[in-house]
Amino acid sequence: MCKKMLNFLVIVFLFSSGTVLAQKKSISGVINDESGMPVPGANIVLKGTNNGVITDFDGNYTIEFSEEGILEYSMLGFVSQSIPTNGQTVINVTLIEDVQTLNEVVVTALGIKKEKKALGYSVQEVSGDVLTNGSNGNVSTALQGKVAGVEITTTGGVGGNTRIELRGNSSLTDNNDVLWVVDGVPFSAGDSSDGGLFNGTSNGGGLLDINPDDIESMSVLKGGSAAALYGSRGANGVVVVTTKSGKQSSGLGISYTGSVMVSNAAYFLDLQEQYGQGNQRVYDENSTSSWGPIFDGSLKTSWTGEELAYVAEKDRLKNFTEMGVSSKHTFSFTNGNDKGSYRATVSKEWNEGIFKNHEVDKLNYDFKSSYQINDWLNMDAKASYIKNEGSQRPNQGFYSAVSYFNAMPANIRLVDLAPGYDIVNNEHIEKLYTTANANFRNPYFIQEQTVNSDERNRFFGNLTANISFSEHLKLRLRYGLDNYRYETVSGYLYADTVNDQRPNYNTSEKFFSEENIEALLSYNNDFGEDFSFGMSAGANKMNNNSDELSSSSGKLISEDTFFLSGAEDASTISTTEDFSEREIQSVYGFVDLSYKDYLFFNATARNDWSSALPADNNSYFYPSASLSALISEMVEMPTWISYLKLRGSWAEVGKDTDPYNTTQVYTLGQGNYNLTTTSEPNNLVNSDLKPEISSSSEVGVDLRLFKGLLGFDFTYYDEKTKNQIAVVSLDQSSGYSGRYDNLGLITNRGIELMTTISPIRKDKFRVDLSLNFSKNKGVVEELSTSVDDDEFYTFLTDNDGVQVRGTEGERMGDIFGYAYVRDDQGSIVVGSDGLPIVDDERQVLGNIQPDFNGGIGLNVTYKNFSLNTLFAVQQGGEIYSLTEASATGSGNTLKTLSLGREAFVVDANFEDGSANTVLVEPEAYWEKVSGITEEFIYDASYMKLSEISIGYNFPVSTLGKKAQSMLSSARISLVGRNLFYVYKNTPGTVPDASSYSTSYGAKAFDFSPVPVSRVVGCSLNLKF
Amino acid sequence: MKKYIIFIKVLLLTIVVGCTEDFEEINTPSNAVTEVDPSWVFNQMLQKPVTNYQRNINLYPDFYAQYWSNTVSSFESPRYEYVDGWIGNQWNEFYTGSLADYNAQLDFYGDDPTYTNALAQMEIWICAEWQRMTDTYGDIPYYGAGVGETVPYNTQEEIYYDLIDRLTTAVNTINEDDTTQYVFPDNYDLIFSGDLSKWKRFGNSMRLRLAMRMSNVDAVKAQTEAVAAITAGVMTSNDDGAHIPLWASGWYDYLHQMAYNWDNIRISKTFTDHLYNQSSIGEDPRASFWLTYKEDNYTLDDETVFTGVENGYDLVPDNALAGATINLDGDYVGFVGDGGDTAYYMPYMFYSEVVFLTAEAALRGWASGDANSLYLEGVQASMDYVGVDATSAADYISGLPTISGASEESLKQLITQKWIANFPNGSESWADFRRTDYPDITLPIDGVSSSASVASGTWVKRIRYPDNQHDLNSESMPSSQNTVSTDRMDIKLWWDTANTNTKANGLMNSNF
Repeated sequence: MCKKMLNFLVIVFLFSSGTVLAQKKSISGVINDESGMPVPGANIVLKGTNNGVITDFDGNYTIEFSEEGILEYSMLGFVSQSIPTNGQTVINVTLIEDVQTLNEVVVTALGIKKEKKALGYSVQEVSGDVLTNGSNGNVSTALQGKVAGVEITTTGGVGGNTRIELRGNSSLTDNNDVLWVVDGVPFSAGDSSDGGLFNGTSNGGGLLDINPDDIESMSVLKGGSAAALYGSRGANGVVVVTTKSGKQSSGLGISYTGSVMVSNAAYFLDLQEQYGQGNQRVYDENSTSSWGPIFDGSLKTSWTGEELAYVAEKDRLKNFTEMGVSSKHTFSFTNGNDKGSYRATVSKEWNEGIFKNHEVDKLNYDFKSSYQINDWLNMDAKASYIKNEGSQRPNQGFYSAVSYFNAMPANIRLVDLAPGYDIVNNEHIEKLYTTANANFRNPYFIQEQTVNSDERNRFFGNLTANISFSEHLKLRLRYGLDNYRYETVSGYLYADTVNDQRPNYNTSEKFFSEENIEALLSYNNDFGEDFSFGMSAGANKMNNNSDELSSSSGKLISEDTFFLSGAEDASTISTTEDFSEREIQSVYGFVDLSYKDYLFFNATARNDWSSALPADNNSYFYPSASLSALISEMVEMPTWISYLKLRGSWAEVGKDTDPYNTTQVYTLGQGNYNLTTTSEPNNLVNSDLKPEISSSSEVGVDLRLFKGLLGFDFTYYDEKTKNQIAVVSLDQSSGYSGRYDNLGLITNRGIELMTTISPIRKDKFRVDLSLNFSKNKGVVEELSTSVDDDEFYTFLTDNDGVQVRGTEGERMGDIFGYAYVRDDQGSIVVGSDGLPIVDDERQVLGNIQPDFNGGIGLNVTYKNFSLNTLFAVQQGGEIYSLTEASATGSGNTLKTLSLGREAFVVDANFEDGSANTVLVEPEAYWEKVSGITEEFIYDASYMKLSEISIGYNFPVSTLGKKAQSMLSSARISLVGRNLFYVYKNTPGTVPDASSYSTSYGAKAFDFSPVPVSRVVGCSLNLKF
Repeated sequence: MKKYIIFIKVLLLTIVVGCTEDFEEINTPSNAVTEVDPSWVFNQMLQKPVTNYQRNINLYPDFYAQYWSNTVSSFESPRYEYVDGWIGNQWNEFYTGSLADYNAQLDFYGDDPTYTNALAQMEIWICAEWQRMTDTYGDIPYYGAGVGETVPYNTQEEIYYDLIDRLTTAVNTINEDDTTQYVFPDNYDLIFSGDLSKWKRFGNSMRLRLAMRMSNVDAVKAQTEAVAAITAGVMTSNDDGAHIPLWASGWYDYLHQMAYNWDNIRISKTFTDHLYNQSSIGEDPRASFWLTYKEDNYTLDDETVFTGVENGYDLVPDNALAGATINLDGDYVGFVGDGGDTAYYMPYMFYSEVVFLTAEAALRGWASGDANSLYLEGVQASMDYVGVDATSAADYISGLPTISGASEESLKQLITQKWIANFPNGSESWADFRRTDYPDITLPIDGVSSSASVASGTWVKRIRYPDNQHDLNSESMPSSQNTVSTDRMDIKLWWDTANTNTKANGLMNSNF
């Protein structure tokens, strides 16, 4: 039945082509390796067509075709074979393992597949299987630890924002966005957002629209040479995503992947549980701090007026959070014949966060097809529709539930705070344990009062024509479109005492569109026995624009009028428009030369014209060149060296700026009394801006020993970025706080080492160990501009003045903060009040750059079982625990027990050198200390088990005939993420995923409003 | 092969159509203008003092004038510590906000005779704001500031002299009868509703304020300018007062937030003490207009009188919130607004202040008039503005000591009453205190913080320059104050001549 339906669909699909299916022939067979084990997932393609299938789990395949030809059998890690069909009906093949992996193919810039051996730069490819090991629906976090030289930072919990840095931060302005290209078309990662130190929500934005289950492979182009062909947009590196296509179809071509995961908040700040509400050891039911007496269980009048036992309320935050359940179902349907293939997928995903009603849901619908229209024209089409909905993303910063719990006296009970409000006269009135104050709120109330939701509806697709003029000359034409509508609603549902303009309602709508029109003409030929030559030329026109309209109500009439026209005073309803448009026109070309298939040279050139730069400076050119030499083919090597390649490359890439930075304009707003307002922009525009230029070079070695038992891939790179377009801080008395300017020279130098060890490679037992190691040092070499000679650049300043800076001549990312004043003997100096004196001048207290990052992957396969684990490691780097600092002043942190709770004399000296003798109250001391950054700096090193999965492949053959006829493979896996930290130093919190924002400077802060969760679950893969 | 090359050329041309001619249009935002109507920035300049009130004014001048005291232990400013994230904003907001906006207006309209009145109004306002700036810091960048370049610091003396000239010129420039002049649209002149005569009187009153500030350092100039200002015509009634309105539908961090909604402050005990120790009749009739007890978890034993909280605790006592606070139902126009669009008025210059300034000029023998009756007139003006009925006001005034002769005693009485009348204008009263050392403002009860740059046992005299200046412009700063450690907050400004701790028996020896 299924087969009939399938045929019907194929007929429908191929209707226009008029193919006569009645003459169909077929060949089937089994593919084994040298040891006789079946090879699942091998490709069988009828040469010169798109007709292809892959083997099932037992190595079986069946391919149908209408005309005889040559079948090509290939599989990663094996030598490919070509066998003419010659009227046969059964072909069994034994594939021979290719230890030298000479023919590994990777996807490079512009989607061009190249043999890995020919590359003069490092490209790391991650297959869809590896990516989805942890059943992580977020494509960027799923990459964590899997690629050397990629640092991924996450915030905000489910659906939160991520920061992806390839080979370090090269930008003063956080202009580090990696370009994502999906099936040849740039995919906007826009609309991501970060919270601030006080408020706001985190949103991963457009990247979340990519469904990892659809991904065939991802190529991470880290360096300039790899990405040079993408021009200005690829200057920070490119991730080239190739989605699955119909070619892989096997069996009925239907597959299902499903998973259910649960997450539980797991890492919290260490709080003390011995002392409760009050001051100077005297209980006070209205106090906002835990400087009261020791918990003794006696009855005391609580803030509610009840007599309650005076005990610690433990695990408040843990009990406030909920278990988040996520589930995901992906169905795909693929098929193809010798003329074409297609794949249709629908995927639905529900993700709950750990806070009430926090949810991010996703629908992906994807259709991708390829069709050989005639002998010179092949058409590819892709169309995706994606809907991404988020709701109740948690508040960040000081106004988050986490901050309120950390600031709360230790005896306040959840049961008294819940549900957060009393209903008085049909209004929700916040239940407050103290007088109203923005710093001491009821987290339950905040959760109910704050509202946010967002929805993005995206269409993404392309139509591509591949024209073969001859065997040597080919033309590719492509039109790509990325188009979406993004809506948000936010506001406050109830009135409160912190802001008298609540309740209020805000809404916005944005239309985004990016068009890319591209042409690429390629010529390839061999000259004589030894030389082959390739040359391509292309052009691209990109137009990117977005229009946004946002409205706010001002204060609403009541809780029941949560809509725009529900404003108490219609005149407070205000609307603003926002536009952005940019066009980049480009021409590019590249040349490939190879000699004897062991020496490869590649050169690329591209010129961009950007509308965002001044007319005189809007053109920029990037060249690149690379060389690869396969030494192991050139000279005789000892037998234990299976493969040795040396590579080197150099590239220069440029970057433009955001639109509208070159002309001075005034935007109008609506201010108090509905008056029109505008003001001089804070930053001076600069009509002399030049494009940013970064030049990079890298050298590498790819070495495989003992027939692949050991593999090393080593890269050293050196990247210089100059003429950065940044806002330079100005002396404010100039009237401007900054000016757009070209400045600076930043270098990032580093090494990447990928090691693979495969000690056991038996038929039914295989162990693979992979180690990713990367070390990067980013240095601010120069900061001078045309006008100023600045000594440092400030990335971020928090509300207490702690800064993250890039100082000229130093490692980027120094944490500057306040330190104790110490005397010559190194003793802390106190004032006449017996309290430590804080040095007014900020000092370097650490640096956010780690010494190295790494990932350790262990994959074990034993019979039908498999185990995949991934450990992530960071060594070095410092982090400032703002979370701890801000809860210390109120006596809530574990730290505040360290000197006892009776008045004490601080171990310190007076300014005159004599020993301190003044008794101080613990609360006076800790309040002072809470402002001393130095006290809260931690080593950010950690090692964690970031992913683990245990899988079992059901032997389909044991499932009975009926099942066998339908099912080609079945696999069930148990998955865990973030299960434990092997070590870390932060006070209960975690050093990764710990910040409120993904901005560069925010990496210095341990201040997460969303506790990091442990995730466990199971997934099921079925192929029919 | 040739035809392919032609094909490529055609193809490239097709894609890169029209080349880059429309780039300029693409790179110009369609929702912005390149020329700015004066009203669009003027209304913002007028509201600048209330846009960041807590951090710029309440946590510093309001505490240092001892109108308010702090109820949050972690706040450091009451014990004279500097926090850049707080009052550091004032520098930024003035220079990159009001001043830059004003300079752009001069660029747009400076040569257009239609705008002379409008620019003169803005000039008067910016001069007033300049004074607030220099009185906060001392020497600051002045000439040429706010046009995109770093400029040297100028001495406060130079700045004062120039401001007086500028005010004089601006007042003289305003021509009420010129019908060809640009007029700010309705509502945009938030303070004087387009009344040019009031602007002139405000300009002259500002000149008087500047002149009197120099009384102890440059008496000759002070006298000349004070007399000239009075002659030119200062404010004549409460109707002339400069008050910034706060929109009822807007959000501000004005006093009602700190003193009522957030409970960060209570009234200072120094202030409440003076509401009972001035007149022989006892309680100041303005007290109940201004103050109340908030019903919360703490109460005082005796709530028949208003009692505030001492200034400068290290650890604020729990019951600090029991202190008296703002009265939002007390009919005081500054705290209840006009019952319509305006919820509050922040005083920028009371009419009563001008009367007190005139009284002081008379006391010093510079201006004509009887110092005692002018000082009592000042009290009466305040009573009227606050809304006190005539009888209660008269009773209170009759119980006040009279002043006579240019003595410290007289000045102390005058300034003390001026201080009460100026409530809640902390910026002006802190300046008066630094100049005259009256009224009797106390030191922080728990002492000056050891992390403050004020010597123990002395009063705060200025605010230090913001980090922005230390980081990016230290080469322009006065050489004796160009490091964080030398930029002390106990350095006296130019017009501040004495240390408060030279006060003996309640009196200084420096004001005459």
